[in-house]
Amino acid sequence: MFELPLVITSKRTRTSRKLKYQYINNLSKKYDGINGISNGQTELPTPENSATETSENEEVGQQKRRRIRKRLKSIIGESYSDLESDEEQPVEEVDNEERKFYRKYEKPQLTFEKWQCDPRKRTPIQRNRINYNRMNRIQRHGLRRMETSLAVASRTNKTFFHATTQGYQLFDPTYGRANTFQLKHIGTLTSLLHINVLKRKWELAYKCFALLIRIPGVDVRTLWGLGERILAERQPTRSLEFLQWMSSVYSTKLPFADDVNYRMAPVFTKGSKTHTPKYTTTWLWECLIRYANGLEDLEMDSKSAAENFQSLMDRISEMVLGPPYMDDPEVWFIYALCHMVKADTLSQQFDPRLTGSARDIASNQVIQHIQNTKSHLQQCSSKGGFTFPKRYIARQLAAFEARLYGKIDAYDMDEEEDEDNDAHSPSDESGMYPENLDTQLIDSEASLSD
Amino acid sequence: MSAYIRGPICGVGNCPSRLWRIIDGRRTCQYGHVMEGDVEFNDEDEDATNAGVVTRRLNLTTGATGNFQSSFNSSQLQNSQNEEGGKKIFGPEARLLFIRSLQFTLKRQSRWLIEEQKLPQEFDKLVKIIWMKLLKSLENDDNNDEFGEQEDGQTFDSNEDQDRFHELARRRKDKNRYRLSLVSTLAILYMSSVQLGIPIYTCDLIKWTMSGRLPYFKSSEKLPESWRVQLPNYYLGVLEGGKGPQEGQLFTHIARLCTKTDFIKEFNHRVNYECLIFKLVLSNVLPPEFYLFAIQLIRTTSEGHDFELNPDTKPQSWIDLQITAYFLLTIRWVLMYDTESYQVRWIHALIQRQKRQEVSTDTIDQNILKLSQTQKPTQKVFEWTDEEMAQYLSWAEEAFLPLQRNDERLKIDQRIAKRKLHKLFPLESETFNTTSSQVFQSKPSFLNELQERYAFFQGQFESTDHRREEQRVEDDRIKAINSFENLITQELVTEFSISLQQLRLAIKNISHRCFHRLKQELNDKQTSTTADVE
Repeated sequence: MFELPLVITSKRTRTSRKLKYQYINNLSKKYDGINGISNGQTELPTPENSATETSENEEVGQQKRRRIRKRLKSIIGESYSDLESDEEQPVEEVDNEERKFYRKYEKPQLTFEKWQCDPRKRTPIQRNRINYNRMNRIQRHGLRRMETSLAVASRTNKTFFHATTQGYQLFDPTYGRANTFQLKHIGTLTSLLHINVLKRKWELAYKCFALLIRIPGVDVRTLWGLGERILAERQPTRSLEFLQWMSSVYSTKLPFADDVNYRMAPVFTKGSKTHTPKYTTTWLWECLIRYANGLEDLEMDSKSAAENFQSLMDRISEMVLGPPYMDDPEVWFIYALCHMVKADTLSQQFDPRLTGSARDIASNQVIQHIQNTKSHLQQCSSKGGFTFPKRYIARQLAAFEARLYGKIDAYDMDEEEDEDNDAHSPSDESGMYPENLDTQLIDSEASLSD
Repeated sequence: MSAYIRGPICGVGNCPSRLWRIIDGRRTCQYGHVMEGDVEFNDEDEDATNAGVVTRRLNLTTGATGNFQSSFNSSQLQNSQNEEGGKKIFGPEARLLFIRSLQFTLKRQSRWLIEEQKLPQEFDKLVKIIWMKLLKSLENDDNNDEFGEQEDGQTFDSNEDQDRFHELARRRKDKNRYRLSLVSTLAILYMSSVQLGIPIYTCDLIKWTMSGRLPYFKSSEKLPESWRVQLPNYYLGVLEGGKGPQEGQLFTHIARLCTKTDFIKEFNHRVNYECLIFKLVLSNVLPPEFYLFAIQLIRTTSEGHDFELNPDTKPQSWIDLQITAYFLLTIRWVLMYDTESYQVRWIHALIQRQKRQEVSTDTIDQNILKLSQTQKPTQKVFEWTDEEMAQYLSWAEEAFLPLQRNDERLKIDQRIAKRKLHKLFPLESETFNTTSSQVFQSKPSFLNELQERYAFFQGQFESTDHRREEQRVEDDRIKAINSFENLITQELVTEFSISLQQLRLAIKNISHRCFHRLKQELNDKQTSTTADVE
């Protein structure tokens, strides 16, 4: 019932897929030939300027080179740096027929639910009709080209192929069904995992997850969301570690292959040069929220919380130096929020009785954080594709700044009250305490960005 | 810059250096040769990612041969490739290795039976004898095959007949396959226990197999590493176990092995039916008189050679199946006939099975077996209680997980990553909640559970209303008997992993046999009973 967290491919299914796509490719080639549709071969040459954006063919060449390299490495038994996607492995062996097919279609990489609703990007519906004679010709041609590969195929594959080309669907009770001992129990464990997460029985769910990840072949990348949730219920600090583990082990900077039909949206399973993997963003958000709460929480050791927060900021500042985080507005936004939280805490700790250079240093710190927040938000909006309440944040920042100058005269007042007043005046609509404001904001943002 | 790292021999122009350092981001040997294909670059450099070069800054690890794990040197590539080639073996050698692997598995199985099920030491020897007999027959087959091939060669030159050629090719192909699998090992175990008169039946073997106790599934992983590397993938797949014995495969294997090993001539091949009947009676919470009834029925209607292993592959001649058929018929006939002592409510009480929380290992194994045999395991899983889930999970931890192999072929970095992940999710019984671990510890013995079951049945029977009972008509009785029979049949089908049709066929056959013999022997009495039954 639930999808198994591992890839089941047998030689049979692989060959049947290969045959299917080979046939489809043959047909479409012939069809294009008859109708005089050029099939991308005669496209305009790539202009010099965009040479850095590697063209499709080049990319394929590179993939091939990379694959050869990887193969050589696996032969000598030496390490390849990452736990490279196992998912790609079977697809690669399809002799590219499937990839050739999928190359023609755009597959969104962020999700699988991208709808083209921009009226300018509409393409006309294809109205070309084809007569029966011509269709027969195309079919015959397609079949003729298939003869050799069909001759070596097994009987089941042949049956499958002939049935599908005639437009029938073959009911294969064993196809995709977990029927071996191993798969059956993995299936049971998976359903138990989902059921227990659903029932919020974290102990049982934890055990399922712990068992599952110990079974070879089971891919953690398809389960990390559940695992994180379960761990967060049991040991909150550990779940951050897990996410960190995910992003350190599975992040790659290789571009996604356009022509691979991924089972899951690839951003959920791995990153690329252009996409930040989801577990990394989840990790950053979780860190930000936890650590920010830690700063507010008086019971916790404020020193370690501050250290944690500082380390998070350091990490992000390193991350944004390179792709893919460099171009990800979400990461920039998180970075900006970090500075904002920092500005908030520093401005709260600001002692208006200070004088001289100590005062200057303290206020400069706050100002600098505010400036950083603004510049990072600038970065974030310049990348596009990410919306956030700009005016609200601006007001908050102004409030932080006001704490530095606003109450010079009233240094007799209690500090608590002092902050309350400050916070109330700009953010009157929300009427929230400044302590909560940031986290509230972050929460709402988090839900927005998801 | 004196930070040298030990690594592979440089080899450029016979350079003997093993020491490497990094100059300008390139790995350079002691004498200044730059390592090929190893460039360190900045992350900002976009093109470099596309060049497919592996960067390494941290975790410079060296392999067993002293190579850097993360990089490779094209000058050393060739040697490694040569080493790699020709690891798998094919043809007759592979078959020999496959047989050796089977033997290895068989040995582990018999050792498990002796250690865990306290079988006598002689069991091991007997298994060995049967296995040797089997090997001998295989050898004979092989020899015949060779002669046959020579003949084929001669006849083929003179005779160009295509059909004949195909026929011969097919026959040769058949001969090349030994038709052995892991099920054959189970068959050998069963045959040995028959010879020794040990009350182990196919259902026991299947239960232990499917619950992962008896070494069966994934036995390819437990083979010596060198064997596993050499074995072709096809045989590895066979040794993986797949689904386990299905639809009476075990019985057909037994029958086939009987012919091959001349089991009938040289061994005790009479199956001890009393014990199986006793087992069936107990596991279905029937009163002990049913045991006597069944034995009586068998004794009066069977002949001496009825319960002997035979090389017949038809379902009606499988011994264990015959016995279960007798058992089912006994229940049906007795319940039909004796309306006085077995009232309808008694049968109804029998149908109700208790859902017990404390169960013995035996029952857990049984449940696992049932789970593995059902077509839709997820549906069952949804109805489980927490205790059942905990039971299943602890089973998975103690029996299923050990079957999994720690993948030795993982690269070192992957292994480190994996270890870290496992550390994040430790799997200790103390991390699990305490109530279930108590359940885990206080597993009652099978005997206690059996007593509980009988007590439950008694309670169930006495709690039913007497007066309502009398209004129930005869129709109701037949319905109750049928549903009880269906229940038992379903359980037997999974326990013996046969199909329903096979069991039905066996029942039909046995009932015919019973009628036939009863007619012969008990001419006067039998008329009334059959009339009742029909």
